[in-house]
Formats: sequence, structure tokens, C-alpha cells
Amino acid sequence: MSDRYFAKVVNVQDKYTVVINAGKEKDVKIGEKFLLVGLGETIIDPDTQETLEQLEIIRGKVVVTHVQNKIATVKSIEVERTSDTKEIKKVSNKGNAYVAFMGAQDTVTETIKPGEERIKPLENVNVGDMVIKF
Amino acid sequence: MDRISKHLFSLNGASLAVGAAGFVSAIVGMFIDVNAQISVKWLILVAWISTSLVLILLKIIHDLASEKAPPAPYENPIRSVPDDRIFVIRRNENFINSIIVGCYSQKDEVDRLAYIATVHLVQDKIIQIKIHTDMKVLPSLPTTPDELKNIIIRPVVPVSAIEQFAQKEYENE
Repeated sequence: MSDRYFAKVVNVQDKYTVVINAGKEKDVKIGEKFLLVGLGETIIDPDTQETLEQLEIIRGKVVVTHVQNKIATVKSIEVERTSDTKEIKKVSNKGNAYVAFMGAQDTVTETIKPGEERIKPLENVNVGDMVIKF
Repeated sequence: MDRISKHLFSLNGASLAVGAAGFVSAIVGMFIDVNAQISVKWLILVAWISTSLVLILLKIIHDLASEKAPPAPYENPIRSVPDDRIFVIRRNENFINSIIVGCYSQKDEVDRLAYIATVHLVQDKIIQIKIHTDMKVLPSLPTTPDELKNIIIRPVVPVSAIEQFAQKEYENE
């Protein structure tokens, strides 16, 4: 394995959690962060025809949650946020006795409901994907 | 280093060597009695000084030769990944930090900002540039080698475009 790649994904638990083949023996610690990448097509320089390297496709950033001797469990740490929603309420006082004297008045209330933050799932993570330290 | 050795072992190098030999022999002929007998220790001293000087000069030549030219201030994409909206460029030290870059479309020798992008991932020999904002200059993301040749990526973005970028970021938050 190239020096750039620290370990490999050996098991996919769910879309947020995977197992990598590096543990206590490779000095992996809880809380350590890694980048998971899949290897895509090989890039060739169109001018020199030199084979450069394989394109790394980012699966996501992960943090170590559990360490065993030869393996470690890692979980996605990237957060995605749903967009804010705007609610506009219009309250009309038509039909009210007050309206007969003062005229109709509408009250418009605008509230912004902040979007929710949630952990981003790892994108298309597979067994064999590479782990990079950062 | 190749450049230096090429110049050294050329006709110019040969004429320089002949000239230097003539100069040294003239100096020696003028000031030194070549028939005189000298102690070996003087010979060793001269040989030691000459060797030291040659080694120092070789070291200076090597250091100068290993100095690299500054990286180009722009790059042409060598590949694009339309699904992920990514341009791939050759590794260039001007792009290795996480920075906002401008992708300019070149038409009739005029550059127009086509995309605002960010450095997405730095690999050993290539850098991935992820498109963040489409300025609607091009109808679709360039994919063919001819289209890619007309795209220039620079680590320079106009202030107005940065403001637009910041506005979009604010809206996304």
C-alpha cells in the first residue's frame, strides 16, 4: 500500500459506520480523524501522455469511535444542514365588531424555522476504499 | 543538472578547456621555474586545496541546478468529472492550500469568469477543483479535451465574485 494510504475499509456496518484494518498495532486512537476515499479512474496527462495517478473520490470524513488490536470502527463526522423554512401567517380580523368602526386590519407574522443539523452519510462507501490521515 | 552537463561537454566547453589550459600554462611559464625541485608536501598541499575548491564549486553548481522554476500562476484542467462537478488539474504549489479559485473561459483572447470553485482534494500529482458557483457563462461543464483547453484556472477571483460566493454561502447556512 502507498504511504499516502494508512489503511483500507474492510467492513461496512451502515451508511455512517465502517471498519478499517488498522487498530492499536498501528497506534490508532479514539478520536483520531481520517478521510475515506475510493479510487476512481487513472488520470493521464493529455500533453505528455504520462500516467499521473488514480482519481480519489471522497466518501467522507470519519472519527475513530472504537479501537481493537487490528481493526478500528470509524463513524462519519461531517454535518449537513437542511435549509431554513419560512412560515408566513396572515391573521385577518374581518367580521369583527371592531372592524365596523376602525376598518379591516390584517396581521402578518413571519417566522423562520432553522434547518436541522444531521450527520452526513458516507457516500457510496465500499470495502476496499482507502483511509488517509489528515 | 542535465543542462549544465550538456553545456560542459559541448564545443563551447572544449574551447573553454583549451583556453583555460593555455592561460594556466602561460602563468606557470611566466612565474614558476618548472625545472625546480620541490618537496612532495607542497604538491600534496596544492592538490588538497584544488580538490577542496572543486568540491565546493560542484556543491554550488548542484544547489543551483536543483533550484526549481516557480510554479505556473494558472493551470488548464486535464479532465472533468461532470457528475461531481470537479475539474482535475496537475499538482501546482499555488493551489495546494484550501483556496477559492476562478475558472475562466477563454474566448477571442478574452477571459470570462465561468465558475467559482474551491480546492477539493490535493493528491500527489493532481488536484481536484470542485465547482461551487456557476456564473452561467457556459451552457454545460466542459468535458472534451478541446473544451478543457479553453478553461484556465487561476487562484485569483474578482472581489465581486467573492461577494457572490459569500452570499451563496450565507444563504446555504
